[in-house]
Amino acid sequence: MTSDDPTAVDELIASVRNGDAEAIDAWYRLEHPHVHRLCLGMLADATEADDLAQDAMLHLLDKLDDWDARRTYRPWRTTVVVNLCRDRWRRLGSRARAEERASLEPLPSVPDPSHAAEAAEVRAALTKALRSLTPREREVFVLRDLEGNSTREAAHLLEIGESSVRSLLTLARRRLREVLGPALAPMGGGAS
Amino acid sequence: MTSGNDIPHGDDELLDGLRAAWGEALDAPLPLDADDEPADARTAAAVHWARAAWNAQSAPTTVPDIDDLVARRRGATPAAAGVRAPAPWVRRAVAAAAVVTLLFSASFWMDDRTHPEATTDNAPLAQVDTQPVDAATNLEALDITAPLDTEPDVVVTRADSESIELVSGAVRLILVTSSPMLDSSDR
Repeated sequence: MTSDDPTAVDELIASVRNGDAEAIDAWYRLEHPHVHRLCLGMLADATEADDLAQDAMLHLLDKLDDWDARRTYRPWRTTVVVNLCRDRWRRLGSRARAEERASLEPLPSVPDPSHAAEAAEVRAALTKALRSLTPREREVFVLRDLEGNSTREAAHLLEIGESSVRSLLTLARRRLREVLGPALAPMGGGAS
Repeated sequence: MTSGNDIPHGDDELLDGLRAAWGEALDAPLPLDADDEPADARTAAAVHWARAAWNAQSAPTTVPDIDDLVARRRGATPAAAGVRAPAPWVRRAVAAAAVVTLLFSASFWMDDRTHPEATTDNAPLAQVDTQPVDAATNLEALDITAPLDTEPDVVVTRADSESIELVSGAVRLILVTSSPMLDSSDR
């Protein structure tokens, strides 16, 4: 099954709810990468994302009965994960905010995401760039620009207005330009 | 979602898109999406890089013990999952048993009030209500059989003045009243 087929995913979830072992295994393998990536984007911390993604999967498994089968599964899952990330972020508290402030300086260089050998460096640079955003900016940027949701969808998922999404997105992009711009300039200049 | 004038979102096209974007004058407006305000090329490049890095993320998925996951989903209590809250039907059964206990206690107390001679040593035994109480009948009288009836797996296999026994699948639950009806010989 591909992750791009919402109907098939919804059918899979129905089997998971019934306790079908094969469906649970397939669901875990299908969903964990998405959940992990969301956690990584929201928390901007690879270690915390690894930990929370596992917890989130178990939480989703427990809470599947709360999902209204007449609606699409994905938005429900995303909302659950976003709320878990917010809870975790609040628990991280001052330490996380201190790290956030410390990471506002522009990155000296960024690796090429298309090079698999540099995966660890890419992840480190991405989390550092995301950490330069506030949690709200990060939520909007992840859901809107990285996950590819529309402004309306992102607003619905985050339960905020569309104008707020646009404002936060503009701030987020501007901040990323400051953090990534200097490192990307040589890459772009050389390629043009 | 993306639109026709989007900068490509895919991995392979990303660097090409990035180079093309960077080839533009740095301050020239460049739309990222149809409903966005125009972004300058430097911003577009930053967003492109973030998208490419995002799409390159692939966390290793280690599936936990599938038996634990299945047990967790089915509401069992695997050791690794810790103690779970009791199933709804168990909670209802316990609540029903508590009501039955109160009913027994109340009826016993009322019996003493109605037939004070029954508490005396010389009271004729025939005046003491010592008939076993049908718990199911009492549940029905209280209209609390409805929740039990909605659980077809739960069967009341035995009910008397001292206990009620419920069975659901492999689970057998015996609830004992806290104040069992005294036998007439105790009086």
